[in-house]
Amino acid sequence: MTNTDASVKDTRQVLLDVKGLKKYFPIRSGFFQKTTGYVKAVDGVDLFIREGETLGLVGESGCGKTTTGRAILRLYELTDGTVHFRSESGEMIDLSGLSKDEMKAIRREMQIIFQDPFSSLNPRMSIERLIAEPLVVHEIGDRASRHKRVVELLEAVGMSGQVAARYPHEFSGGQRQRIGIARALALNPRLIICDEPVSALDVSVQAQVLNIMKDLQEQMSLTYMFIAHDLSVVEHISDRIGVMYLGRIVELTHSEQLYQNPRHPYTEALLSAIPYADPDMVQEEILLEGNVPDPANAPPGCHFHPRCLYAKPICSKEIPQLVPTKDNPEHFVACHRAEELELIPVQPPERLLKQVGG
Amino acid sequence: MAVEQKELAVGQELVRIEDLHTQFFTEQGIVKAVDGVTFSIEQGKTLGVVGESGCGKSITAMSIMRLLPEPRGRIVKGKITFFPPQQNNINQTSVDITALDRHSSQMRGIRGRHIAMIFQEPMTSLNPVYTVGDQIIEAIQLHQQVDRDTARARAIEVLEQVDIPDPERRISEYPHQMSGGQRQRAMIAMALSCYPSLLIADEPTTALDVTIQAKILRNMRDLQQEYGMSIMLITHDLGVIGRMADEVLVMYVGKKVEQAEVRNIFHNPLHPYTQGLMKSIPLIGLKDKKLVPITGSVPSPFNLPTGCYFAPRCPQAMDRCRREAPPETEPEPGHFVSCWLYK
Repeated sequence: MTNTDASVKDTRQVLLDVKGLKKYFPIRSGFFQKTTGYVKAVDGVDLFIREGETLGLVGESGCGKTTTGRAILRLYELTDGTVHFRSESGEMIDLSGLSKDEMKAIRREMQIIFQDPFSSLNPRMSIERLIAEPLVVHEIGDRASRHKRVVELLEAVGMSGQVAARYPHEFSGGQRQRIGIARALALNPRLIICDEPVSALDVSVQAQVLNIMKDLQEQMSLTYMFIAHDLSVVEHISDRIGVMYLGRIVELTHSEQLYQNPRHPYTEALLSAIPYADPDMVQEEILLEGNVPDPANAPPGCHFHPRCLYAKPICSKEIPQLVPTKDNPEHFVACHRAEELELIPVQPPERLLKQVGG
Repeated sequence: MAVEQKELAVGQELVRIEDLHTQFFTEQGIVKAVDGVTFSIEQGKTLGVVGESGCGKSITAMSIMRLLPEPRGRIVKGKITFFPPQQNNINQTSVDITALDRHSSQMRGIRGRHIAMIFQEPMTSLNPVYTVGDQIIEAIQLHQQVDRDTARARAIEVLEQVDIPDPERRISEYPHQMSGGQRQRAMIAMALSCYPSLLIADEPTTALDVTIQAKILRNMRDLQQEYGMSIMLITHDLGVIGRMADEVLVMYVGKKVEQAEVRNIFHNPLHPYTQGLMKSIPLIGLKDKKLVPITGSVPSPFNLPTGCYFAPRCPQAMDRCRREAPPETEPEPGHFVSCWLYK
């Protein structure tokens, strides 16, 4: 992963291309359940993911990152926008126009891993049945070949094939998350949407799962969309990162660029707020005023302007578009003042840099 | 102002926990949630307590507060000595918290008044049917002989200190009218309303977004500077520890495995478990750092290994580790570790 020189054009093919994605949830009230407004959970998201890469999506609660992931898989009906996915034959298919059956066929290639390994596995099903279920649904193989596949998958996630007969409650959080990954891999997908896959895990176990995900990505040339609120984790695993705020992507670029050269004021605040696990770290937190606004009643113009330290009159009037910066075609920012602001990057302590370098 | 303040001397011992054993008596057997832990909390300092789920960090706090679900969970051995700070230059007599009846007026006088606690989920300590102001006023009047107006003024003052905007109006709001971050701050305000000498914060920001967390942590630090109170900060987040703690205690399955000044914990961790934690956290800007997870998982409390509890997961385990539990040593001044490597 040597994308430090961002000017080097990445020639990998685009696997997923999302344009203008919107997902509004109606607010109903009154006796007739009349729609009185909309929660604009996702309000115009553009992103693409190249084959074999990991795109991280970060943001605070309610920013729409999870809804974006689910809308891409069409677990929600889209309000607007297109989602193009490169099928195995190489053709870009617009998922938003597919019927239920067509969607079912293509879902083999797109899987999801959930945050909570305790509620995402049916407690009444053995590990074998859980992992083989996608194969059964898609009518792949017979009993014997499915069992072989289950053992193979368990071994791929670092577990013994012998656990297949056991039940979810017998496993720890980290092991359950690995079972969840094995299940997601059953159909040989090409894209996996990982929704906070390590957030519920203790740190030592979190590293186990992250390492397995990285190894599997290399072995099976998987493409990940990694959704999480923890920027340290996202930065570790992602090639590029999109930062979301109130339903929109405000900045999207290579992960090194994001912390070395943040261009959106929200990214700057987010980076400064993450407590760095080293007492030598010099950090001046940028404390934002107020709270994240209600997505049913978002401010006009740039959603971030009421809390932004650098807001100007234009920011409350016009929605800034997500466009590349002048010096880097791969660095997208949605800010009226992106070209003029000098924002504070993250500078890890020298001592740590030396340790890693040496 | 009628509310009296205590005189705090930074560095003096405030609470001493000696060989604390807290156990839970369940149908499946006895859980040794805290298994012989000794440490001190100093005045004006922040003691960070880290460890993974089930390591006994919260139960240690509940033992100090005497908030255990007795008799199902109780302190079976050990001493918790509270040294009340000087008042008007008069030394106060120390109290053994473990010897008190948890419902006694003496314990109630310590709990909330001298030692206050905040939790991860603010709704565990805020009552939804009373306004935030009423709850803070009640806490103040419970512990201090002041009239309602004085208490109300003090409540507004603490709400302001924790950065709740427009406290005069917000004081009459109910908890549900506030956002998660504000509720957390209202709870801190309630805890601070009696100028406690020790604030025990159990994962105070874990449920919050990072930008809100940053504000609350800053708030806690500012208030500590102002009042000179001690903080016992319980968290699994090494980032929060790195930013807040002076001294760090690392716990594993009910035992203290290491204790040192914060720099030593991060830069020179001695216990293989602490070393493992440091190697398993990703850090921004260090993408090339290879994460080395700790293998295996935390043992079940009903099926603990003999010898050192960490031995089955320890990359440096020796035969002795699997036979005998290691005693605590002090390989360098102020740096304590329980591991046979240093014996």
